[in-house]
Amino acid sequence: MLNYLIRRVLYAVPILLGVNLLTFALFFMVNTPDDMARIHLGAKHVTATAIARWKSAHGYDKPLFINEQAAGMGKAADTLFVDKSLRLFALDFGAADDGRDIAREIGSRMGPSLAIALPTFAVGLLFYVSFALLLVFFRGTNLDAGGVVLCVALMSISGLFYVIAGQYLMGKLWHWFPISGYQPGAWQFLVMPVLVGVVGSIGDSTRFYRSLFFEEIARDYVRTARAKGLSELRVLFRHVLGNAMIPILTGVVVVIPRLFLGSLIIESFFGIPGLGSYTIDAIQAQDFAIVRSMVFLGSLLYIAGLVLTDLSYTLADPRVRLE
Amino acid sequence: MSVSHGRPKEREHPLGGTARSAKGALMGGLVVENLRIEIPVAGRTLVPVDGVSFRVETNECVALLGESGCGKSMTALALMRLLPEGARIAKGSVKLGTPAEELFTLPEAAMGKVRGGRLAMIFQEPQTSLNPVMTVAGQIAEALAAHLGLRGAAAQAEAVRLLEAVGLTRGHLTAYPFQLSGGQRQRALIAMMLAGEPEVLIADEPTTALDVTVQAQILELLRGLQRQRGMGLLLITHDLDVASDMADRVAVMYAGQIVEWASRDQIYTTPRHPYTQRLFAVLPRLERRGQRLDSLPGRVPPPDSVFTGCRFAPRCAAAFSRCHEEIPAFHEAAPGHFARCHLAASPAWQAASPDSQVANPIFTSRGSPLAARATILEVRNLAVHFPIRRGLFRRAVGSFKAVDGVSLSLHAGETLALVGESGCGKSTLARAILRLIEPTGGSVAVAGEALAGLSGEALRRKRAEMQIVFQDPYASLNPRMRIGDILEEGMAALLPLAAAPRRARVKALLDQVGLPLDAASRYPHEFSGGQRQRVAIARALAVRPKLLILDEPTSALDVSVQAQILDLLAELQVAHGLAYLFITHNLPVVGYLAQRVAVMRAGRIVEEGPVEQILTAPRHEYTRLLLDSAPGGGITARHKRCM
Amino acid sequence: MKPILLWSDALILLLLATLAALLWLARHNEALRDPWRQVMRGRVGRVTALILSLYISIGLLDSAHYVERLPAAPGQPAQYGGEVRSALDGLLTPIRVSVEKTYSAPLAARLYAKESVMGPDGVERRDYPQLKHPGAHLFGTDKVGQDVLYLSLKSIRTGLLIGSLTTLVMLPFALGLGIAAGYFGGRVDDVIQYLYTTLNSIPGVLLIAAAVLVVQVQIEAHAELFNTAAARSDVRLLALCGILGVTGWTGLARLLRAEALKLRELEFVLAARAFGVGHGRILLRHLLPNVMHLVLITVVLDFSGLVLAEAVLSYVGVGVDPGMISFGNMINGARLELAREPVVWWQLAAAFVFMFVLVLAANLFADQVRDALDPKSRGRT
Repeated sequence: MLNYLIRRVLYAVPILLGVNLLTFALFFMVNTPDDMARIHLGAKHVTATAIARWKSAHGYDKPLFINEQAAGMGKAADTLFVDKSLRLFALDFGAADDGRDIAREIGSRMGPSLAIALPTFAVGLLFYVSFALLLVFFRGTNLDAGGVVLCVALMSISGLFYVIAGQYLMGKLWHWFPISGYQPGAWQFLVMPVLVGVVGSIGDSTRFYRSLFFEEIARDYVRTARAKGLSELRVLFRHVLGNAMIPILTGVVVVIPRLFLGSLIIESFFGIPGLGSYTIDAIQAQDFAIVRSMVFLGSLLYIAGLVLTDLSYTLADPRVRLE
Repeated sequence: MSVSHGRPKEREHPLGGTARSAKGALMGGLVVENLRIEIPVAGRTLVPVDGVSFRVETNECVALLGESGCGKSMTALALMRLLPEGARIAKGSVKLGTPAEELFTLPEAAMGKVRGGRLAMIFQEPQTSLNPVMTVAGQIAEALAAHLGLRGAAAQAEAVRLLEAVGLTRGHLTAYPFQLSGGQRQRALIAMMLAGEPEVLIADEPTTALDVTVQAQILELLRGLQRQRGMGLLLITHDLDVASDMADRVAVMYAGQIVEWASRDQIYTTPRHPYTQRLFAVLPRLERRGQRLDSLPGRVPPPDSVFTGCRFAPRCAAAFSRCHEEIPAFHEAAPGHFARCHLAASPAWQAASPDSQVANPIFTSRGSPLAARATILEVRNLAVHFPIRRGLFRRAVGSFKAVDGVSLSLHAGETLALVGESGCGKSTLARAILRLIEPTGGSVAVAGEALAGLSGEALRRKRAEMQIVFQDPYASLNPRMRIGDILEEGMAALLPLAAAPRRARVKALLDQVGLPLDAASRYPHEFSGGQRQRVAIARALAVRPKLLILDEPTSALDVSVQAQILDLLAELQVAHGLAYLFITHNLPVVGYLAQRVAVMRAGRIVEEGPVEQILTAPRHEYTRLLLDSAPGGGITARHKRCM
Repeated sequence: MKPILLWSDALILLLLATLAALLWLARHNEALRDPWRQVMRGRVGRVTALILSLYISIGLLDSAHYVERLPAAPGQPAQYGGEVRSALDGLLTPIRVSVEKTYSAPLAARLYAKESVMGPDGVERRDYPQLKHPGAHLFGTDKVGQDVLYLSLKSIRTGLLIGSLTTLVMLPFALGLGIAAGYFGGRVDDVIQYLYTTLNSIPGVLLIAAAVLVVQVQIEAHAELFNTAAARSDVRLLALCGILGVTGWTGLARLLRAEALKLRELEFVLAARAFGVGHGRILLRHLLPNVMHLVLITVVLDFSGLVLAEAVLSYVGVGVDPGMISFGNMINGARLELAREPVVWWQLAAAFVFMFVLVLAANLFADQVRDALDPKSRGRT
């Protein structure tokens, strides 16, 4: 078991290296630092010296992989790849184009992101699973059929609609909550983004959980449980839900670490100063240093999610725990 | 309706009035009357069960016997009111206990009390019938809480008592199902179902998925519990031998109806329905060696057929005009012996039955003595070891010896049966011989040429000499290919034939295995299991092999279809001088078909010899255990040896 | 006029040709025709198929591009120029050219914003001026006075393209890598699993954003290659499809890997190997046809997801070219106007409704296809 986990953690290294190489290739080889400088300097006719000045100011004036001018270890170490890419492994994200320290920025923006993402995740999960169980309990009836139609309709609506409709109705028309903004500790600002986030995934998620439950309900041990004379509710909660926990965990645990990154759309629409809006601003400003850092951080958190998933299996599935 | 009931008063019930339990007492038990199940599908109505009536008294075992699709499992599920979604009980009544309580009209909550309480059921698949994430104790405790209201220490004590009653121990309480063997799981399931102290226990093919030695133990346990607790046991089975070992009374089902119903002795000595007679006639046995097995032509009518006469008439050798025009009544042909056949009571049925196998052609032309013929397969010390990897870096710390030094030889025209239980390595051996798995040691020579050194083109050419037929008729044909393309695949790969002669050969092959010529342009799903197995045999024959490995080719088939396939195999062997390596767990089939037998256990051959010697005077202890465990010999006879 | 073949038009033709060829090949295959008949038998299947074909026809009409012949002096060689138009533009000329000054509500007679107008009495007042084409705009007009119905219809092609071309890019990766991983196992499987875990580990939007940013920089750096605005936004659209495809194959590949893992143990595959049939042939004849139902189901399901994704990506700024007419750009352009009084709702409403109908039809159709191809799933989802 422990061995298994250690192996999974070790497996993370080549994956992160792969992510690094990929982003490095995208940002430094396809797109040379010269291109970058030209975009940031803006003007049509930039001089070569202006480009060189911008590059050296932002630390882009080194060779990609091998520095012929440097001596000894410096040949490999004093390069863009080490400087911009490998340093990420030490969580050294460097500075954004506006000169601000990215790591510090990330640290201060995690809080607001989590304040939205965590309740959205928890409330959503609880709601979707309960709703799906309700539909399964009433399977074969009009309630279930209507629920499924509702889910398909809800998942056919653009996510942007939920945001815009929510802001318009709850904010502008009914004045329930502020339309956007954020203050630490002020719950009024959180309700609407959370609500919109939860409602936005009702269709997809409920359908998914419902089909998981249906898969379990067709299994032989459920028939055995019924043959024992257990009530339908007990069959559903103890047997169906108990076994469906395993696939549910696969889908759910892996995203938990990613909650730190927040949601791009929600944060940007509701003006939450979290990592999601940070990323979106970086994309729109074409600040590649930030984008690269977020890609690395995202991968890191994803892999943490994978390891957590393995751990959670050992809790939910005795076959894994005891083997 | 064709069911001829007496007046509804219980004493005069045709099923209960005369056929009494062993002790003669007429007790409550389970009375099923006129059960009809319907499945509406896209405008049509399937009727898998139509007018079924029988009774199971407490303190007796009733076997509901029938081939796949006859409706026996549907019937069992209907009694529990656990029919799969889509199927519904259209008509009928089920009464349980004294005073009789009608189950079909009970509200669901009250039915929950009956289910697993007074009426319990165990299922076929021990692998999947237990909840994988709950301990045995947890799953028993649920039943105890539901029916006896027991909790905590009292439940614990009762659970231990139940486990001990089914031959498990206190130590199994904390076990999860994956930590138990198949037999232990089935025992745990039985313990769960005994928790409510049922009056009647339904066992739906409880041992079909188990090895023969485990089957014997479970059957014995069930019979013992039934006697000891004085409960009724309704055993659903397809196996005539199992029914004969277990049942006091037998109901034979065909196409959704019970066609014969009598005491076990009556059924097994004087079967009165032609279908039952045929079932006995198709059984392979040692004493039928060299004889052609009787066959049952045609197929079971589909469950949406409309019947104007007897359901069995189209396949019945004794059928006459009345059989096609008038639905036969289910009547008492002899005291306590009911049958659904116009001829059941009259002596005419005996004349019509092809009772004497002497009339059947016998395969005697086996040619020159075996020793004089060419050796087709020579296996020496063959080994297949799989590494067991452990630890941080998945280093091989040992190996699992699936096949561990097996030697065999096989002559042209000879059949060698390889007998063993699941996991003994027999299928791995087959794949290793064909080099579908690379052996880790030893040598295989086919027709005098060693396979080990061959590779590429040479190995490919060699493959034409050795072919294989698999167990599962559904998985062995690609559902997206036409039969013709399936048969041509091997020829295209291995024979130097142009397209036109290939197609001609497809026709010849279809003819040889008894399939219609238009089969070539059809897809596998249009064929029955037996027909698919014929296709699989034709596919293997297409490249003109010398050696045919038959990996349980009939174990997924009904006995009547099995007989057809065995006949076909015998014919083909004579016609082509094929050498068969016949892998099976079924000893009667071995006795019928093979000249020599090798018994395999844990990767090794423990005994090998001529079939008569192995089946009648085995030397190895394990062979004796296998023989003793085979059903059909009666339970008590081998009581001591099995436990 | 002179026909113009944009790159995306060429790919659409290629797609149509492939589909036609597949249909021709499968015309006698009962195993394939049966499920389709089943889909078409139901009311839901028929209605959704009708809606989808309506959308597709509009998309196809919008893909027949041409440039007008410029009026030239007689005797001069013909001159072509001006905007690239499509057959749809031609059909919609009445509403395309009836441009107002700015916003106007659906079927309104007057403009949304007040202007100084000269009254009949010759006095200048602030009032809502009369529209040039009163009552002609079923869904109103947008900020620059373009007809919203026209914009909505033009957006359909963009949505359909993203849905279908992405699939076209994604399929070879998913099929090839997924089946190969499952069938060969061992090192091949390790490498492919590593590939898709790595791709999966990068947050989807970020990877797409990064790639789109790079493409954008490249397009700007090589502006001389694109002579018209249409060609430029076309290339950006194709690049977006390519990126979505290259990053989007992991889900299906995983599904196919699991299926191939099961299939390779099946006895008909073993039987083929016992004949010495090569790996390539086994993959092609035995594995591929037996996973096609999964592929089809996934492709139809993914389609609706991609149409919705376009809107979100365009909002983030990494979608289609801002100058291209698309649902995402329509929403993006109108969302801030909700703050105005009275509310400018029609542009948003039209975009959402057109998108909703398309996606709903695709989702319902996908369910029908799934039920027909995978009977086990019936009633589950």
